[in-house]
Amino acid sequence: MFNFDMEAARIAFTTVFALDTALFIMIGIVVGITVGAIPGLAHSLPIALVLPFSFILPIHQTMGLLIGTYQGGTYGGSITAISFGTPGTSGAAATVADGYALTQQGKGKKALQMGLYASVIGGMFGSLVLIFLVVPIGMMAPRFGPGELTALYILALSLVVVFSTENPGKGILSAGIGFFLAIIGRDIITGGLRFTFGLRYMQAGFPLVPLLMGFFALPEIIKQIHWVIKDPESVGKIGDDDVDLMKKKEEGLTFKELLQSWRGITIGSILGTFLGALPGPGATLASYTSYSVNSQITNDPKYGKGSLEGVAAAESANNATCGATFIPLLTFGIPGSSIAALLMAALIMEGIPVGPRVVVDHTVVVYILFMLMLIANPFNLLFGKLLIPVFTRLTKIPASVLWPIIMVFLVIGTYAYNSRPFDIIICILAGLIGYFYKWYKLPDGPLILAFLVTPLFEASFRQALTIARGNYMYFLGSGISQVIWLITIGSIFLFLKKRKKITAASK
Amino acid sequence: MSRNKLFILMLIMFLSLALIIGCGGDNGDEAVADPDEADVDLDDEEEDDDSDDDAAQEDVEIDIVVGFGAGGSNDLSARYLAQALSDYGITANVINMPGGMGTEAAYHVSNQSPDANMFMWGSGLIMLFEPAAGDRGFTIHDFEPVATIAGPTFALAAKAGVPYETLEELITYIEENPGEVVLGGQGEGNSMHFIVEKILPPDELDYTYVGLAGGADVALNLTGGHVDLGHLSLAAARPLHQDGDLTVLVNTQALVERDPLMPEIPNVIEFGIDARETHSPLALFAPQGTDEGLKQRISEAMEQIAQDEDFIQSYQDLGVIAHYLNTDETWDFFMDIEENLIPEFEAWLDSNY
Repeated sequence: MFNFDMEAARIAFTTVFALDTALFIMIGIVVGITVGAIPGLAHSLPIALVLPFSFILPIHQTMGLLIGTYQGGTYGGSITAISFGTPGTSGAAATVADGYALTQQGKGKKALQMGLYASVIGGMFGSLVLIFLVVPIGMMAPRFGPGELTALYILALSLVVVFSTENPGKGILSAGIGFFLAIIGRDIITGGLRFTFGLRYMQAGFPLVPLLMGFFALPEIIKQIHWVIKDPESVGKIGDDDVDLMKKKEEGLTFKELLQSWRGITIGSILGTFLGALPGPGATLASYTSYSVNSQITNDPKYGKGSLEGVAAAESANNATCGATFIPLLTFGIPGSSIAALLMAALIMEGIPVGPRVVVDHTVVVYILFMLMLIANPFNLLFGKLLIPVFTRLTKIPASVLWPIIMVFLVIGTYAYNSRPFDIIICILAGLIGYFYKWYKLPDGPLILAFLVTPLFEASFRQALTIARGNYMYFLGSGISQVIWLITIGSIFLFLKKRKKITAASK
Repeated sequence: MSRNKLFILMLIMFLSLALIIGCGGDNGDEAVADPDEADVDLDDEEEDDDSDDDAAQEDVEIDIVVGFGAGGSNDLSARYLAQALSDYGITANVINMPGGMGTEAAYHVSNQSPDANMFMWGSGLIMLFEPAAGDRGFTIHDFEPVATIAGPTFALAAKAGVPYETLEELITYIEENPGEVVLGGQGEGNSMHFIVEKILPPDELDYTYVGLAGGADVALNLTGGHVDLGHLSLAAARPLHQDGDLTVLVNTQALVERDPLMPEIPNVIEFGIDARETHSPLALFAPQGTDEGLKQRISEAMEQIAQDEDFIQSYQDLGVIAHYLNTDETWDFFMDIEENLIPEFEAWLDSNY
C-alpha cells in the first residue's frame, strides 16, 4: 500500500520547485489558456502536440508542460464561453448560459473572474483529493461496473427532468433530439450502422466538439452578424452601448460575491472530483451535472439568466476533474479518459511503466506529479488574472470585426479536432439545431446531457444485461447501485414537489 | 414568418453553403492523376529514376496517419517509429484521426494523392477485417504496403481468486460450470471477438461474452470483479498480474510464440489452437502510386530500426514486439489473412449478426 516517503518527497520538492520546472508550467498554462480559449480546439490537442517533447525533456519538465496545458486549457474554455457565448472547450459548455448572460449585462469581468477563481478552487480541491485520497478513491473506481454505471447514468438522465422544471414538455423534446443525435453512427457495442442514411462520413456519428461548437456559437454569430448588417451604426460591443466606453473600468468580482457562490463551488468541486475519478463521464458531464444539481438548491433567482453561482458551479466542476482523472491511472495504471491516456503515454515515453505499483516503484515521480498538480493552480490563477483584462477588452472590439474572427477560429478549431472536413458540416448542422432551439426557446441543457449520457448509458445497460443474462435484478445487485437508485428517486421527487409549487404559484 | 426571421434563415443557408464550398475541397480529388502528368511519367522513365534517387538522398517529410486517438499503444508505437525515422533523414509527423476503429483515417489516406507523402499506420483489423464487416469506403487494395514493423501482444487473463490458472483449466472449468463464466472482450462482432470465440467456441462451451469499451475498460471490469475473464493487451495485463489483481493465462501473439515481456505465458498455438491475432501486426501503408523510391527508403530504414536495441526495448515496454517484414513479406502476410481468415470471419459475422 501507499506509505509516505519523506526522502522521495524531498527529492520531488527540489525537482519541482526549480526555475526550469516553473518555466515549463508557465509555458503550459499560457499555451493551455490560449488554445482552450479558441472555440473548437479541445485542450487534448495541445497536449497531444507537446507529447513528443517526452522524447527530449526530463520528466518534471514534460509533465510540468503537460499538466500546465491541461489545467490552463480546462480553464481557458470558459473565457470565450463567458465573453462570446462560444465555449472554447466542451467542458465549458455549461458555463455559457450564465456566463454570457452576465457579459451581456455588462458584468463580463465579474464572470471571468468568477470562472477563474472557481476553476482554481476546484482544481486545488481535485489535486488535494488526488494527493490524500488517491488509494481509497482509486479502489472505489473499479467497483463501478456496468450495473452501477447504469444506475449512475440514469441519475444523470434524471437531471434532464430537473433542467426542465419550467416546461417539462420542451425539456423532453430537447432531450429527445439529444438522444437521437447520440445514436447516429456506429452501434456502440456491435459496430452496426444506425441512421447514417448511406453517408460514409456519418459512420463516425456526431462528434461532441463540432456539435457543441456549432450549437452554441453559430446561432450567436448569425445573430450578431445579422445586427451588423441590419444596423451597422448602432451596433457596438457586447455589454456596452458606446465605443467611447472603452476606457470605462468595468467592475470586478468582490470577495462577498465569491463567498456567496460557496454552494456552487463546493458542489462543483465535489461532483467534479467524483465524476473525474470514474472512467467515462469527463469534464463536460461533470460541469453539467454540477450546474443542474446546484440549480435545485440555489437561492439565486437569476440562476440560468446571469448568475455568478452558475458560473462557479460549472467551472469548479470541470477543473476538479483534472486531479481526479489521475486517480485510476495511479492506482491501477488504467486511463479513465482521453486526457489520462495522453498523460500515461507521456509517462511511458519517459520510461515510467504505469501500473498499480507505480506509487511504490516510482514514488518520486508520483510525488512530482502531485506537486505539479498543486502548483499549476496558482500559476493558473496568476496568468488567468493577467489575461482577464485582455479578454475583457476583446469584448469591446467592434462586432463587425470580432464575430467574423470568431467564425474563422470556429471553423479552424472544428476542423483541427479530427482533421475531418465533414466535422465542419456537422458544426453547421448543429448550428441550425441551435438556432431552432433559440427560436423556440428550448432549453439546451437536456440536449447536451442526453447527448453525453446516452452512449455511456446504452453501453453500460447492454453490458449489464448481457452479464446478468437478462436478469433485471442485477441493476439492484450492489450497495452502490441501491444508493444511486435512491438518490435518483429522491431527485425526481424533489422535481415533482418543485413543479407543484410552480404550478400553484402560477395559479 | 416575419421578414426578420426569413432574412436570418436565408443568411444561415448562405453561410452554410459558403462553408460547405470552402471546406469541401477534398484532397481526394488530387488522387485522380492528371492525364498530362501521367503521359510525362510514362514517356520519361529516366526522369522517374532520377526522382527515385532524389528521394533516397534528400531529407524528406512524411505524415503517418494513426486511426486512433493520441496516447494509446497504437499511437505510441507510431510515435516511436516517427522518432526513430528522424535518424534516417525522414521527418515523420504523426497525425491522429480517430473514428470508426481506424477506418476514418484509412479512408482519408486512401483518397490522398500519391505525392502527398501520407502513410497509413495500418493493421489487419483496419485494413481487412473492418472492410469485410461492411463498406468502409476503401479496401486494402487501395494501398501499397511499405513494411511491417511490429505486433502488439494480446492475452486472456482471469480475475484474482478464480480456480483456474491455465487455458486448459479454464476450459475444464467452463465445461464443469456451464453458464457461470463471464468473459469481457474489446467490443462485439469484430476481429477480437472472433478470435476469442476461436479460442473458446461458444457452441462447445457455455459462457457469457460481453463486449466492453476497450482494453482499459476490460482491465477495470476485471479488477472490479464484474467479469471473470478478460481479453486485453499483455502490456496492460502484466502490471496487474504482477500485483496479483489478475492472472494472465495465454497470449495470442501472431509474430512470435513467447512474448519477452512475459516469457512464462504460453502462446495459444501451443495448445493446438490456431487463434493467433493476425489482425494486430502494425504496418505502414501508402496510397496506390506512391513513389517506389520513397517507399523503399522508408522500408530500409524500418528494417534498421527494428534491429535497434533501444527501439526494441521501447516497443517491449509498450507490449509490442518489434518484428520487421519487408514490402513483399508484408503484402504476403496480409493477403494470406485475406484469403484464409476473412472468409471464415465473414461466415462468422453472417451466422451471428
